[in-house]
Amino acid sequence: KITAAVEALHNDSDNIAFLENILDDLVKNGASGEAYQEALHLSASFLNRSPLDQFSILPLIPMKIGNLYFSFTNPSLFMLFTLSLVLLFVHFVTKKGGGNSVPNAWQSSVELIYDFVPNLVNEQIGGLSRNVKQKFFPCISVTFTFLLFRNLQGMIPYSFTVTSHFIITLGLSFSLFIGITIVGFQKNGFHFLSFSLPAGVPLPLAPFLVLLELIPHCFRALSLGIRLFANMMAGHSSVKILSGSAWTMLCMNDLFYFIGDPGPLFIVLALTGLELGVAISQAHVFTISICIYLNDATNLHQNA
Amino acid sequence: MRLSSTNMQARKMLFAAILSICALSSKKILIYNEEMIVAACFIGFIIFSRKSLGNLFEMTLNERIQAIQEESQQFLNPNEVVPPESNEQQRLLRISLRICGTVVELLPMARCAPKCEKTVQALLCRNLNVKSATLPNATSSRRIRLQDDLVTGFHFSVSERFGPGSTLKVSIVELIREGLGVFKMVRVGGSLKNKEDE
Repeated sequence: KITAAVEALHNDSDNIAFLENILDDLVKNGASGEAYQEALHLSASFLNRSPLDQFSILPLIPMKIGNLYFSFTNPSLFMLFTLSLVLLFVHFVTKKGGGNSVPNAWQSSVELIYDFVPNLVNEQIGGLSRNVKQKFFPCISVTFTFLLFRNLQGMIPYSFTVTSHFIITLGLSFSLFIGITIVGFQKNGFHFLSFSLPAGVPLPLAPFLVLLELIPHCFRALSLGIRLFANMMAGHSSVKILSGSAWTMLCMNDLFYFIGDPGPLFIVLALTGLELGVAISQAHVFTISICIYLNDATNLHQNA
Repeated sequence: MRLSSTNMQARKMLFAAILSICALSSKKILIYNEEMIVAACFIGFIIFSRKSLGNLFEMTLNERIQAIQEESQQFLNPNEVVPPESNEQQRLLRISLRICGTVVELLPMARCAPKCEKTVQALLCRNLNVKSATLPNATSSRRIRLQDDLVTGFHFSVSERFGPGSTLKVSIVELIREGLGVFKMVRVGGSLKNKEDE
């Protein structure tokens, strides 16, 4: 890395005296010399050579059992951070045994977030008695809150976005989808398979249609994870790329580039706003899709 | 005064930000790369959105708080002492009107001459006036609910029997008799309960 940094810095330089000076310094003082220290410092700023480096998973506390790695990585750290943030937020808002009847601003916002999910659940999963509906509420509520705060936490500069990794979002969506399928089988027995055949279909068409319905049904698990992952990753990489170009324009000692720098700067500002909106809406879309799939699984094709 | 204090605050924060940037970069904690532009844009966006949307957000939250406050005030009132007589009068008046209304609604379904309608209406209104002149004092909610149930039941049963879809040949006398019967029940129930309370 240091070689790369030094090459990038000195390769185009024609100043022989300068290069000779650096060579002398290195030969004389080695690692403690000024030239080396400067090169080290410069390489630190070149550390993120690629805009995708922000997504690298670093094992902070490596733990290994045989061939399996259970290391505590930086996604784990940031997930813990989000969890503690949410819990602290809720705790401080409901201090003194449950907050006030007439809420203040913070408590109001927590209540709004909490209120949001039962509306979703009640709307989407129609046709069930009240008890059964409330069974699904904790899982969906936790999914929504956690996802919302994870997306928002990724917006903080210098931090790591947990949901921008496919393995994490796929794990979440896949496990939730398996849960939904199990619920569907539990409620409807083998009749659940009739979900693949909508009403009023002529019999010769049936096998073809079953296959055609089964494939999208299985793909739903994947699409849920991909949607979240793609949105988060695309947003963060584009912000990184554009800010990289803005930074380069700033660094080049050229007047024209300096004047033209506010262009990418403004775009990065707008993109940050878009990112925030996408973070919140993606959490919402994930949760509402889960509610819809649950509705499909438990009510098959009937309406409420 | 307020503007200058906000300006002072903004200036203080700007000064603190510049100082912290200098300190952090000298300690080599803050590395100068493109992430700094991301951070600067993030902070800029938050400040910008606070200026333009901060009021909106605050107003929405305040509205919600006020709505909850008003709702809680309203709920406190019925649990207080006996409702004043005027409320009670209005309530009983409303009940009587409902009974009259039901009867009058179904009058056209009954076989009767148009003159009959007016006679019946006059009769019911006179009864209503007599009733409102001798209103009992209502205190218990159970009785109130009983009265309401009686009236609703009367409405439904009469609509069933004398309504447009019925095949029975109705007699106007029966209809009026039912209405007066309910009147009596409501009034007698009230006076009985009053005797109990006393």
